[in-house]
Amino acid sequence: MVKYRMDHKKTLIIIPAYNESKTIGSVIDEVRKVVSSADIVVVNDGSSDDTGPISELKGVFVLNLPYNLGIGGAVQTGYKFAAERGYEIAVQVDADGQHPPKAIPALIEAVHNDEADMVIGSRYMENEDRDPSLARNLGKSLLSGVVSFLAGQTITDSSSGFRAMNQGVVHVLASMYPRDYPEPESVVLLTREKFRVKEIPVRMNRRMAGESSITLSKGIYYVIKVIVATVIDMFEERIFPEEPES
Amino acid sequence: MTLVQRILILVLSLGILTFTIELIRRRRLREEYALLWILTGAVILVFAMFPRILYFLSELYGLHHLTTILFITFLFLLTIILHYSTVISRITERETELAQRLAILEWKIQELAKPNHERRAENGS
Repeated sequence: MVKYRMDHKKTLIIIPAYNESKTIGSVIDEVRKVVSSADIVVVNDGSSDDTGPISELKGVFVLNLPYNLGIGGAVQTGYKFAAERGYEIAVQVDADGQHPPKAIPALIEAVHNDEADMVIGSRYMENEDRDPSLARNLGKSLLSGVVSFLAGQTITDSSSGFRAMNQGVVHVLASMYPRDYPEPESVVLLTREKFRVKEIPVRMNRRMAGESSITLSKGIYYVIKVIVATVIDMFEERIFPEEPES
Repeated sequence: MTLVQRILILVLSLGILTFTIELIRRRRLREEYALLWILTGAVILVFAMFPRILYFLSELYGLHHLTTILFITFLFLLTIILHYSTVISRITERETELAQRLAILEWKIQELAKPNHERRAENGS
């Protein structure tokens, strides 16, 4: 395992977790091995299992939400924490072990080198990782088509929650973050505010435990709702009505 | 309108009024909503007592009597439901914000409660 130190930028790894006691421990260990200098915060989203206590024992920061807010509300708690404590880079990693910690340094590096304001780890930039299910592929293509259109740039994996961002993005998302389908919606939101979004290829792990939050039967429903939500977002008031200087 | 219909509607409106007042008395209903339902009950009461107003209204809009009532009722309910949706959205947003603040503040309190040497400003090695 490559040791990676990014000492000159204060970095926070945000891990939203809802009932992930089976995987959270090893995810924390792995993340720490890879980015030893970064702080880790686990946002325990009202879990009914031992997700919170396990994380506490690992010695990371733990934010315990009093009840389940869903992924959007949980991740935003992490952004607020990051904004308040002045972290310069924030990385969002799932607690189910699907996101390979090995890839975190590449994400951080891209933000650090100012290649973009937010860097997304994409499953679909390399074809070999494609989901074999035709229906899901269709949904993903449709979704990425709509998000790419609204964002004005190609986004292959808009629903990926594996992303790193700089302080500017953290501040915006801390104050305003979509609750229901945060990943695709936030991509559109950020590009509209003229933030630079970039994807880099990442090979995801099979989930170590737990169910996918998107089952096949709910897939179509999800895609339609996300598209509606993203399109509605387009009509919302801009956060920065003036053009921010680039 | 037959006498039976009028009595039924009269009883209905009185029922709504009584129920609303009872809810206010038990502090189960906030005044802003109470006003709405008292007004609703009052309007139905007026219609029950003076059905001519309804006839006048339906003539005014050139609609058949029953259709008018249904149409007005539908619009009224739609407006209320829409209003409730905005209220629920606002409450949800506040509830989210509160939970997030609580989680962060709880973390801070726990950090403060620790003896100085155990306090960690950061957890990276």
